[in-house]
Amino acid sequence: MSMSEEKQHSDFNNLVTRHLSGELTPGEERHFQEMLRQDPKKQSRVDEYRKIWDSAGSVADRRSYDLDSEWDLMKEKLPGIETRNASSRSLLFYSYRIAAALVVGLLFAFAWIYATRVAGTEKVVAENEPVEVLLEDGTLVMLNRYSRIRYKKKFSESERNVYLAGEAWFDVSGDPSRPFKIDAGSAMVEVLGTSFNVNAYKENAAVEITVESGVVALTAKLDQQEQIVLRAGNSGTYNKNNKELKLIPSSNPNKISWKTRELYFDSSSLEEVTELVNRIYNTNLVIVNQELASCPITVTFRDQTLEAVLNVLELTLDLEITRSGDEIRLDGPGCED
Amino acid sequence: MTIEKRLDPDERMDKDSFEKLFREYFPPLISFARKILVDEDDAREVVQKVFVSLWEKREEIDLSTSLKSYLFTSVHNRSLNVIRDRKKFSFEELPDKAGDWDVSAQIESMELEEKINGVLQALPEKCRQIFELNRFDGLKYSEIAAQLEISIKTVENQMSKALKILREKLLKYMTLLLWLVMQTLN
Repeated sequence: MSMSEEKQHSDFNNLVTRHLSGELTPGEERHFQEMLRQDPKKQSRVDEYRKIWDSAGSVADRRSYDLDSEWDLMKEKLPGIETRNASSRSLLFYSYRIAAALVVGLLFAFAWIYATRVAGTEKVVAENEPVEVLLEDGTLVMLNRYSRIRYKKKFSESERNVYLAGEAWFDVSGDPSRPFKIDAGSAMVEVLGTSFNVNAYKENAAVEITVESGVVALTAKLDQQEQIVLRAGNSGTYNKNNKELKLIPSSNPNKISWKTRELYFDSSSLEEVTELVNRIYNTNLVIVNQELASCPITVTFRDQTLEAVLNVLELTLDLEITRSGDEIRLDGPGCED
Repeated sequence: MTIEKRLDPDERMDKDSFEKLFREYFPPLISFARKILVDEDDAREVVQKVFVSLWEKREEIDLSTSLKSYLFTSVHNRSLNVIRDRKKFSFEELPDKAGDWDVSAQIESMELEEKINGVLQALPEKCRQIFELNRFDGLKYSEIAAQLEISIKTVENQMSKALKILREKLLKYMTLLLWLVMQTLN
C-alpha cells in the first residue's frame, strides 16, 4: 500500500469513527453520506464498523452487572445448593400481588402497584400514584409516581441496601450499627437515621437529595472518595454530565410537595403555580390568556383537594375556570401591575 | 466455529460448575431479556427462573440440544410470558416487541460481543480507556480530552485506532458480521 493510500485509509477510518460517535459536524455528515452513496464499497465497510460499534455498546451493558451479588441473589433461589439455608425451598414459590386503583380529586387517575416477592427480594413499583412502603427495619418509604425500589425482605446484619429508580422520600429508622444505603443509579446515598427525599429519575441530569431531618452523605458512584454531607434543610445534587457534587444550603420546600402535599408560594407566578399543581395533582392546568402567566400569588396549600386549590386561584386572580377533556383551562382578564 | 457447551450426562452438575455456568451466561441472558422486557427487574427475574429450572432439572434435561440455545430459548419464552401477563394486568396498550426476536441471531450476537470484549481487554491501555469513556460512559471527545488532559485530535486518533483494531481482529468473524448486517437490513 502506498503512503497516500494509507493516508486515505486512515482518514476514512477516522471519519467513520467520528460518524459513529456522533462527532461529525452537520456539514461533514452530509459530505460523508454523499460519499457513501457514491461508493457502495465504502458503504459496506461502514456497515461492518457499525455492527462492531453496536455490539461494543452491548458489551458495556453486560459489564454493568456485579456478578458476585447476582450470584448471591441466585443462590438463595436454588433448592438444596446450600445446606445452611433450609427454608429456601419454600421461597421458590412466587406470588404476584396486584393492588389497584386509587382515585384522587375529581380525576380518574388510577394506579396499579405490583409487588413481586422472590426469595427475599421485594420490588415495589409505583405507576400513576405514589405508594407507601414500610420496610422490615421500620423505615418508611413514600415512592413517587413512575418509580420503583428493590430491597431484601430481610436486611443483612451489617447493612441496609435498597435500589431506587425514580423519586422517593425516606424516613429511615435509626440504627447506627447498620447504615442505610440507597443505590440511586449514578449516586449513592448513605444515612444512619433521618428523613429525606431522593430524586433520581433517569431522565434528569442530576440526582437530587433534599434533607428534612438528620444527616445524609451523598457520594458519586464513579468516584467514591468524594462525598458531601447534607443536614436538615439542605439539598445536594450529583450532576451526571459534569460529575459534580453540589451542596445547596437552603432547599426549596416544594421539592417534597409530592409527598407532603404542602405547596408554598411566595409571590410566585401563576405559571410556576400551575406547573407545580400539575406535577403534584397529576393534572393538566392550562393558562389560556398568557397575560395571566406572570400574575403573582402568595399562598400556602396544606393537603388541599384540587377543587379547593382551584377555588383559591379562581378568587385571587378573578379567573374563569372551564374543563374540556382532561384539560383545566384558566382564563381571565389578567392582573394589573 | 462456535464453542458448543454440552452437559455431559455422565458428569453430574455440581454447585461449582453451575456457578461457573451462571457467571458466564448471566450477563448475555439478562441483556437479551432486557431487550424484550425493557424493565431490568423483570429481566432479572426471568433469567433467575431459567437458572432455577436448569438447576432443578439438571439430571433430566434433554441434552441433545446445546445448553446455550436451551438457555436463550427459555429466556425468550419466559419473557414472552411476562409480556402476556403484563397485558392482562394493564389497562393501557403496551408496545409489542415480543414477536421479532430471533434466538439464534441473539446467540451469535452474544458470541460476537464476547470476542469484542476480549479484543477490548487486549487494546493498549490508553486506547482502551478512551474508547470505553466514549462508548460505555457516553462522553464526548471534548469531554474525554478535558478529563485526560490530552488534545481532541489524540482522542480522535485513539478512537479510530481502537475501531480499526477491533475490525482487524474480528476479520475471522466477518462472514458472520456480513450475514448479521444483511439480517438487520432485511
